[in-house]
Amino acid sequence: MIEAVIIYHRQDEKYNKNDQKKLNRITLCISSQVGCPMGCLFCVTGKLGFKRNLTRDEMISQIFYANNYIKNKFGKQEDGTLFGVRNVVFMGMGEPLLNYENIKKAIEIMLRQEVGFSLSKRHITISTAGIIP
Amino acid sequence: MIKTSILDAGKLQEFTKERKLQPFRVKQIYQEIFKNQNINFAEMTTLSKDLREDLDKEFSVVTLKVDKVLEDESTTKI
Repeated sequence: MIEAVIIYHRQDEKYNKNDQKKLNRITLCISSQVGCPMGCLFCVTGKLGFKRNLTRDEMISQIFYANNYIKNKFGKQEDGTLFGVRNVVFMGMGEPLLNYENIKKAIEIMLRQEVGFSLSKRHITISTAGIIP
Repeated sequence: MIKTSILDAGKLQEFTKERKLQPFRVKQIYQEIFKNQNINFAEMTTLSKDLREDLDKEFSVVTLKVDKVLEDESTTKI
């Protein structure tokens, strides 16, 4: 069992329709491992113990699912394109740099324009406890 | 049985060879997934119904099982 969290950033002004604040950008927090071997004191994941590394496709699946969820929830933007994940942060379960080969492959797909999400390099963040791969 | 991820290029190539699909079909499939943000083959309306059914037999877009979805005003947890 892993988790991923979609975070909605909204603008300050209120949106006319149903008094909701206008959606600005969307960040997705994804996991890189099932459980975690690190056991950092500030983190509950360590208590689960380490189960296994996620594959590239499983990490990308988290984005696929989130994008589909966002599409069904918000639909199109004013310019006609769909709302979708614009920032990805590796801050879910697991220590990303212990799964270096797979996150490298996953990030390739995030950056790629053909068969990829064409995200900006600056919009991908890896949170680590200080592993050197 | 767990189905193959659609991102498995080798398996997808095998699949297209077997059915003698033209290369632009593969592009259409990826367009549906990345651009139109679809995860169910049934919703990919630029593809023929037969192809959608065949894809669904062998591949899946999301290779994880969704257990539960929690939501509040500013976040959704999956």
